[in-house]
Amino acid sequence: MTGQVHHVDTTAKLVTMINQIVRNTAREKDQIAAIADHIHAFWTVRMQQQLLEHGSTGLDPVAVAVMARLAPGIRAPHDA
Amino acid sequence: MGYEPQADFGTPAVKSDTTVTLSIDGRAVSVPAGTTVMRAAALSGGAIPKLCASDNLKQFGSCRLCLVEIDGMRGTPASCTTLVNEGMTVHTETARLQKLRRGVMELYISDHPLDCLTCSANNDCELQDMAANVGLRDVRYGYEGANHLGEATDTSNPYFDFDPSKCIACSRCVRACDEVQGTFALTISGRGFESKVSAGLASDNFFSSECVSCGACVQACPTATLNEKAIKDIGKPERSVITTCAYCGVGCTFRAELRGEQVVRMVPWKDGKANRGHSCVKGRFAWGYARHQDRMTKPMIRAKVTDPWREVSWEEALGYAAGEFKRIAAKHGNNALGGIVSSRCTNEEGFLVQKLVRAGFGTNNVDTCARVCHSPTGYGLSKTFGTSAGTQDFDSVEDSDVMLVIGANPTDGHPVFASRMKRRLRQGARLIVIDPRRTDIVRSPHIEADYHLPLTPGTNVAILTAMAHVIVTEGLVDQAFVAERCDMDEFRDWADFVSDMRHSPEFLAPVIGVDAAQIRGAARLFATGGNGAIYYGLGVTEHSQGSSTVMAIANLAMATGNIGRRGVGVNPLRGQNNVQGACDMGSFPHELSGYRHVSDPVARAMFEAEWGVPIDPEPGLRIPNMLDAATDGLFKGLYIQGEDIVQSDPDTRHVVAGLEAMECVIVQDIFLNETANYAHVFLPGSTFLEKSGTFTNAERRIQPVRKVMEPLNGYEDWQVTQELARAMGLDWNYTHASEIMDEIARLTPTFAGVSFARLDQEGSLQWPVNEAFPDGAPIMHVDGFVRGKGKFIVTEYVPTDERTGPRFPLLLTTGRILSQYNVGAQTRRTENSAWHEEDLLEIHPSDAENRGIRTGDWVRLASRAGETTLRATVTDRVAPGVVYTTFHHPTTQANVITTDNSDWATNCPEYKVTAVQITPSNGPSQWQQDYEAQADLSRRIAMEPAE
Ligand code: SF4
Ligand code: SF4
Ligand code: SF4
Ligand code: FES
Repeated sequence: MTGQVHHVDTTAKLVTMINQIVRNTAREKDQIAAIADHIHAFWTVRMQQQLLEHGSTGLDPVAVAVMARLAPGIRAPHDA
Repeated sequence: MGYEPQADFGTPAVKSDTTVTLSIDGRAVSVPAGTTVMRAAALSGGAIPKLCASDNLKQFGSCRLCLVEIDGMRGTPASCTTLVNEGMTVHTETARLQKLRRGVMELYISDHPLDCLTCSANNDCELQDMAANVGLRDVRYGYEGANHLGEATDTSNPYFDFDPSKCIACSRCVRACDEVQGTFALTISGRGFESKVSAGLASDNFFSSECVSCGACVQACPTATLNEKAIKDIGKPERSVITTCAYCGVGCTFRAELRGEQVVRMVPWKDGKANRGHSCVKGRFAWGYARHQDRMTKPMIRAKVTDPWREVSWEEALGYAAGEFKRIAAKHGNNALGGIVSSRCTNEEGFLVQKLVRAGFGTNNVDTCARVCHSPTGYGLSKTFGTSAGTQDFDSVEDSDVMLVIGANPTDGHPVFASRMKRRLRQGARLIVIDPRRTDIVRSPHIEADYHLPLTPGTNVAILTAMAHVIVTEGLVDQAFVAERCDMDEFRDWADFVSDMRHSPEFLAPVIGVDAAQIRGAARLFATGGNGAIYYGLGVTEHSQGSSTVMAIANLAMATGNIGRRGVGVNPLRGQNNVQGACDMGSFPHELSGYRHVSDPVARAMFEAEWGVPIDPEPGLRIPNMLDAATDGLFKGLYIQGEDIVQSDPDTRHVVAGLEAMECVIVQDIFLNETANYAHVFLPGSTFLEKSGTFTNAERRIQPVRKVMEPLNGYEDWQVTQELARAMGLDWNYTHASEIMDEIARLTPTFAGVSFARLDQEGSLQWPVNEAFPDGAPIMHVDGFVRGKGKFIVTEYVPTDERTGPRFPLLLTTGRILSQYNVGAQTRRTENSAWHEEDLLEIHPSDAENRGIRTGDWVRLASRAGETTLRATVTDRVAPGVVYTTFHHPTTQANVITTDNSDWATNCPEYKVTAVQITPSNGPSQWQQDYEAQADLSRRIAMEPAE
């Protein structure tokens, strides 16, 4: 097993994660704000940045809106 | 403390508002009405001789040893069955009574082997005590008549023997098994001299019978008939220490009874508020792993995981680890480091690990294995009620009228609490079980669930919404409760949502796989059956909609007014002993202790002032994200205390890839676990018997763990963490675990009133313990929700991405069994393996037949993540289309199969649903063989120091 490469596409996972959050919060009154809060509370800055760099491919339109809302606040993590 | 058996007042305590005063041998005694004369006498310090009575069993009145005389009453009534009356005058020691009692004892002793001096129970035998007590000197009947002395001893149980020659047919064992444990494994047949205790059928012995080895009968037996083997092997205990079981979230307390430094037996503590004197096979008997030959006691290091381990001094190991972590931080930044807190370790140890990560590593990359079990509970309950914890104490079940058990298998996972549930069910409470599998609680002696809804795995939200639909549309909502306690706008939104026809049982039945009428019936029963309590486990949380399901449960409890008093509530049954505590202690990357978000400046300021370092206001990485970051080359060093993520976390291959990508992995554990195969530093850990601290059980009960023997490795786990911190340059100087708790109390408002001294005094405390709740809070949300108004949250059913299809047509769900615990590292190293040698795949007869599979056959279990092999057992416990297995053995590699799907809110893995295919096989898979080979290679320890 050592030596075998187990390829994981982290960005693809983040796309799945945010789309899943979108589907599960569809009934929130202000869904975009609710998801932005959620991501802010639970994701590292680096994860947010990574998704931002990835762009909108594969993202649910609501997720795209969330990322647009988050973008200005996402700063480079202090030491990564 | 010297050795004293636990006090036994003869008959159970009764609750009554009326007090009755009577005279016993001239002493005035006041007790609650309904108390027996026997108990009143014992409480007032004048115990009456007894044999068949015990205060955890209903009065029986068979031995006739407890006779008394009562003024104005004819004859000599049995004190264990006679209730006190106001003004009663009782005499317990008259010449007439003494004569009668001697006669009774003579009969018993004439049929009893008189090998007291060599009997293992010598000096710890109630029969012997009673003979002395009644002054029996000689036996008139002689010892030559018919007796049972030649009967063979049943040694089939790994932990205790049954020697029928010593049995006095008092039936305490039978009643303990029925009343306390609820298994009904024992019978007493025949009358008088012919009376005989047996386990199961005549052909059975204890091991082959229904017995689950809880030990209740052994504890109840007044003679050496049922006796722990350890008493014979080691000898009688000389002292005892009260401590807390380190297995499951019930948190039973035990008297560790010792001879010198050696534990002789663990006896459930009668004053323990979680277990009330009961136990299961794990806590009672399965502690031998503490002295198992596989215990690691020396620190080890290696530069590469392909190198053999090298045993080194503590100094060298800690210096190496600290050097590596500092090097990594300098090169890759603080966020390339992280730590994992174990839910098995104490609160104090968990707190220190997260402190080391936040204050020492300078990052919030700390997470706990609760991530993979109950993180959705924290999320769901804090959103709806405002606290991340269950609402009740265990005693509350005594007032429940309807129990809804969803995604939990209490008889296997939480056996002692299950016994209490079963006792209440036998008294007439009703039962609804929602579970894909027919768990034991669905049908057991004298219990039959009113409804068992065997839903398709992954449809929890759908079924709970369908139940809510029935409750709302049939007008069964507790309007008064909702109006007073909940936010009405949110309630209306929710009520509109669930009332929609697409949420009716009829519409959803095909998705759920359960008949609509059954769902309606269950919903009506829950809403109208009186006090309704919901108990749930990992079958709720370990799903892609785990958090939504927790919220749906909370909605249901609020809508039916089942919150804020005894008998009701939302009760997560926690898997591991300290899941609650690990969560409370700030082990999640986004939270400081007491569930305060790292972005909260007030909370951060408290910690910064105490610790003298800045705390990062941004959340850190969760375990799965740490592994992702590692494969991306961003995460390099991980300190893992008491966890085995290679075995317990989903998608093993990804876990392994993540660990392989790291530069320094530190594993601290009692055994070389599977994760240690990928570690560079191994720090030996200590067992719960070797340390001081506290665990917090599923009812928020903080209980002391007390050191009963010196740690084999020389240090308690918190000391190892402290040494690592010191090696990294932190000036930590705790001299005892209690000082860590003092710091926790200073920094955590819900723990403000907790200290070791207070715990010693009270036995245990249920948080919050602070100014508002100085003695703790057994039941929460009594006068209002912690968050203010209860919040209904709309939970839309979103099917999991994990779908069956032509390649993977079956759904795999996973669970655990009674005798084994989690990844089995401890229980596999005890005699418990006699009950569970390997993990088996349960498959329904029709699915088995289609594939030509019979019980005992090797099968290949494959999912899109990987494949493994194990043996099958064909059973209709599982529905067609569903297969089930446990995950207690590393060679099974069940997590090679599970996928990286996870809960949308918390990333708790979706262990409970994996699309799989089963095919016949002729032995272990290539992966298993490779894994074994790799594991063997990786566990090598160099005989001589290299270099
Ligand atoms: S050990 Fe427990 S289950 Fe077994 S016979 Fe005794 S009381 Fe019953
Ligand atoms: S085995 Fe022990 S408890 Fe059971 S009837 Fe015999 S003496 Fe009593
Ligand atoms: S029920 Fe749980 S806490 Fe109690 S003895 Fe068994 S494993 Fe230990
Ligand atoms: S103890 Fe009362 S009859 Fe046995």
